[in-house]
Amino acid sequence: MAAYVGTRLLLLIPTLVGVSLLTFFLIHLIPGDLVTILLGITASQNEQTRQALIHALHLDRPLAVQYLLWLGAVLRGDLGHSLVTGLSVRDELVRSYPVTLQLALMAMAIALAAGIPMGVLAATRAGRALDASTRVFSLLFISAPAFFIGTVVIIAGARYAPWLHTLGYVPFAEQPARSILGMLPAAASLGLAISAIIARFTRSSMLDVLGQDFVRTARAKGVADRAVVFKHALRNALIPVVATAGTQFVYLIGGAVIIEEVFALPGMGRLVVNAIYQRDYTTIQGAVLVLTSGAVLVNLTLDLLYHVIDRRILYA
Amino acid sequence: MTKVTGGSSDADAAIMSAEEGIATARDGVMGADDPIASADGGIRAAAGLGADSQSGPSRRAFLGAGTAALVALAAPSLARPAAAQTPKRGGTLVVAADVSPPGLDPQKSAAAHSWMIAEHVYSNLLRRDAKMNIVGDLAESWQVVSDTTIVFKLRKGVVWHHGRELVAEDVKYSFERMLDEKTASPWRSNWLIIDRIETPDKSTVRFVVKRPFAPFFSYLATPHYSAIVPRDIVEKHGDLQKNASGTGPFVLDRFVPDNTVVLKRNPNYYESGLPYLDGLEYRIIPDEAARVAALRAGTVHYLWSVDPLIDRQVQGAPGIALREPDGYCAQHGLAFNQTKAPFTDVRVRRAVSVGVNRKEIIASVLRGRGAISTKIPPCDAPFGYAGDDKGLPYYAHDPAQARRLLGEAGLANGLDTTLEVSPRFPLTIRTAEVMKEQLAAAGIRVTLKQTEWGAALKNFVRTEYEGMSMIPLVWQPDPDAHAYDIFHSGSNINLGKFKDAKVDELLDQGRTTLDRDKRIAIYRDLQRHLADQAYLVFPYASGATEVLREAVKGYVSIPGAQPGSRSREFFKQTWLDR
Amino acid sequence: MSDGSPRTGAARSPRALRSGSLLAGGLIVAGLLAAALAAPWLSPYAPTRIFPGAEIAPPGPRFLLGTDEVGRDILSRLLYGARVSLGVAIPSVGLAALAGTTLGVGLGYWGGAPDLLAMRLFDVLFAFPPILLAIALVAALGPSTVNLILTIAVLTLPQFAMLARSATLAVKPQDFVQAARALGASHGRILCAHVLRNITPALAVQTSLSLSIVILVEAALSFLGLGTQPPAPSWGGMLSRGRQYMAIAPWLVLGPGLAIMLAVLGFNLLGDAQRDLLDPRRAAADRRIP
Repeated sequence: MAAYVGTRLLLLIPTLVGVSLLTFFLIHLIPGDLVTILLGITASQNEQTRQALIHALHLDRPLAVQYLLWLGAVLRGDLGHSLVTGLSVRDELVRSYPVTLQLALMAMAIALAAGIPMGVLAATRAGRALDASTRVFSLLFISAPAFFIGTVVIIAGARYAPWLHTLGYVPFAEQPARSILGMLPAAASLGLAISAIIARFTRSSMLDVLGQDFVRTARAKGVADRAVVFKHALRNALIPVVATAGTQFVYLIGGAVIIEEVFALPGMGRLVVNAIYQRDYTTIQGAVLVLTSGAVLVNLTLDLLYHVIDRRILYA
Repeated sequence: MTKVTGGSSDADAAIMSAEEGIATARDGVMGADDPIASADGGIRAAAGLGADSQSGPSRRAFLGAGTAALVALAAPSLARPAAAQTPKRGGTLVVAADVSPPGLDPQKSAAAHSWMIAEHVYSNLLRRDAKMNIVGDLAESWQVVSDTTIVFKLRKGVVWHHGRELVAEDVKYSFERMLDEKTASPWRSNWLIIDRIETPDKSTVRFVVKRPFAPFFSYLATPHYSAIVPRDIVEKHGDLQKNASGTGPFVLDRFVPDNTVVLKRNPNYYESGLPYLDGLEYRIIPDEAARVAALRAGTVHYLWSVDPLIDRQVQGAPGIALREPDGYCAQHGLAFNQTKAPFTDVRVRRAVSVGVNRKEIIASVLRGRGAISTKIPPCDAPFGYAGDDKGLPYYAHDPAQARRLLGEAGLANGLDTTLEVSPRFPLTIRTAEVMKEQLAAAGIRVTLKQTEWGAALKNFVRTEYEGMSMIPLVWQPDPDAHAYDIFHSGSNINLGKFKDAKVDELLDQGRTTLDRDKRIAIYRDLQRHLADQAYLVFPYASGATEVLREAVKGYVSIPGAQPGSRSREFFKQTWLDR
Repeated sequence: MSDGSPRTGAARSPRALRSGSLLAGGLIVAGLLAAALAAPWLSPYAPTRIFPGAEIAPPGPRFLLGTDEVGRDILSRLLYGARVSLGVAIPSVGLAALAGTTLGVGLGYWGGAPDLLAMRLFDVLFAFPPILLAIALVAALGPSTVNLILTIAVLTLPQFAMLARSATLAVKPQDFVQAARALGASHGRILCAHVLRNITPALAVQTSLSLSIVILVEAALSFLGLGTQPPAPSWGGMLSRGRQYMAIAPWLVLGPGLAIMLAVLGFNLLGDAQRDLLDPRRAAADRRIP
């Protein structure tokens, strides 16, 4: 296993290079002129002003050279400065990543804590009232767009609980309790929707497994029902569920942009989207590096988890 | 109308005297005096800024459902005599802002949201008062020695936030920094007119310009164009994007990008007694529904909105006051690609101009919060047309005339064309949708092309779109700034890429004529000619509506309550009734 | 044998559920398709027609479901919106399902170097925040409906591929597959007869989920201003724009919100019914019930 993990981690490097190369050229394909955006209509068309800015930002070099300059700097640990604000990209990432991470972890925790038990319950009581009501509940939360749920939460909060401070962000390091409480509405808006997906997957997966031969074999051997359900069935049922949860988490890490917009959270999703709108190439490059690394690590963890759950799945 | 002591040349009087047109027009529309604003006048007098003989400008509308009840509540304070309330000290005013400032350096950032902070932190030589008159700020007085030389005398005893005294050298440095190519300042080209700046003593600055330049004073009164910055702080940090030290009423305390900007009261501010507030906080909340909810809950005190239905959004919420824009300064401009057919033909452009029903757009899209406009908006009257279209050719809605014009241009079967817009600004989309319907009745079949903002902006500026394109345009401090770069054939921008010798001539004259009345006439001619040729079509001028908690007192808004026109400068005399 | 155990309950219910889900889901989806197709005849007004002065009018005799913030009839826009939403969702999910499943099954079954490489590529694709990818693609390609479908297909494809792959991985080592190999069955037969049949239930659920998710993705893209171009009506766009006035004009969001929920509900119910029908072991279990 150590060798496997080691190989995967080594493979991270060419992945990162590939991603950054891809991003670089994709972003430059998008029409729209950074200098025009930065200088505004009037100033951007003054040739001298344009040239001064272009030169300051190294935009007068050929694309390949710009990329290599950036890569060289990254290898030295320098992610550069935002083309728009001049602030250090590293500082911006360090500032915004924890926000998104906190949101993702809280949302995922809510999703799993609510979703898996719901799904298991619905599967074991399939066809009865509990199953139906669980399905209705999960459908409700799947079908409402996140920004809609978020807005309802904010408006209701403003009217009935103005002390809740649904908007804005307090860093965890400064005031942990207040930070978590403040982010709860946002995390719940996200997490409940995901919990519905997890519940459905858990339910259908459990139902599949409950019908399988080895479950009946275990029952025939006389092991107590509950043990059967939880030990054998759940383990097998979890594989697709883990896959789904993993995908959702990577998406969350990618930045639940919309929730960040609606709840005014200064996370990476907003950072990247604004960077795209403003053609802030260095920020985009830096952010994508961080996001890619995160995603690769999560996927690696998932693959290891599959193996742990079911030894028959070879991870090679 | 404030006249500060100085030279008595015609130039001085011409440029410095108030825009009387604005005051009269507005008072005519305004009606009743506003006692709170009169109290403001009193405050300003006490602070040594020079008495303002006319009453405050703001018109306030109390809103929505339960209007009767709210007005009843409000009426008592309106009826009270002017010397009603003494400002209370303390408290932090929380503003809900939509976009995070990319950086705080007014000399490097062309983003309006950077200026929204800079206007509190930095001072300029001149500034505008609540009626858009130009008055002194750091400059106590000035003298126009000749058409090309102006001498400013600085206030004494002004202290920077980081402690030392303001000297003339600071002023000189500020302009030199903008002119330095290494700064890559967007405002560099504004100041190329400067020949040299001299500082004969530490309170005197002498500007010598190369040619008579009419916009000079306007530019000096525009916060982001001419903020006075300290050399030592710039050199210490490299730039002022994250660090700030100025001479304004508020000191930068904390800047967390995408989250919040916190300003604290400047205890050494040169207008003694001000500010009343302990601080300002700009909270960045990108979603408008969330901002409004925060205002309703009372967690923020102030926000602005360009949504024409903003009154519906805050309907029924207690403790909220709506403030209509005092003048309309923001515009949308619809440009034609005039490098190829069909818009090379003036008749086709005129057809679009008469095919559009501006009054209907203002009524339906803006709910009446707008006015007819040319490139120079009504808030800049008398240079701009103050809301009526008399004398502006091809402004009256007439689909039959449009069809006739198209017929004359050989397009009897109508015209198929595209209109490029960006969804970044919902108002643009709504306006475009209504225009599309209107033009269809005139035989012009428009396909809307939705393009991402960065691309749309670039296409617009370089005229790289098909057919037509429309984007929102930013208010400019001077008619020359409004018109020159956009219409002059020698300019790199020239929206539409056309060449008109008469337009060039009028623009050059407008820039160098210092006599105010002559200048007004020149720009009036220009606007009539531009309308006649329909180089650009302007559906309207609009403004932002400000929404405040009723506890916010003493706030005076300037027309064009949007970032960039120094509209929230009067936070310095605002106080919270706690 | 009814012994009251959950197992029997589980075995007995699918039949009831199956017909219930199939019926309900089928009716809803058929209804949506019918609304989409019959929109021109059912709508009282053109969906883009503006009635100046009638902005945010409450439901009444003239406008059965009220008007939006521009002054357009909501009922008409809902009906035409079905065309838009379904016209984007169905093609994009279809494309993603086809391409993604093929890819995922191939990778899971054969493994080896291509699998390693593909997994790295998927790491890359997953690393791109979907919104980032969507914005970049829409900005680069241009905002047309076809490009929107392609963009959403690209966003959705990885989920199908990953699911197909992991499900194939779970099935491959199982006894009956090994047995078939030992008996000399060709790869093709194994794939079709065994692997696909076994992973189809999961894929069916994924398809229905994806269809509902894509409707939400389109809403999200509309929120960011990247969805269907105006003035064409889209449920997501209506919901996004109506949000601001939600507190005082709930009809602006109830219509599109319910429409979205119905679409999601319908596809999910259909998916459930599909799963119950296609799963061979479940069918076998059903047959054993007295």
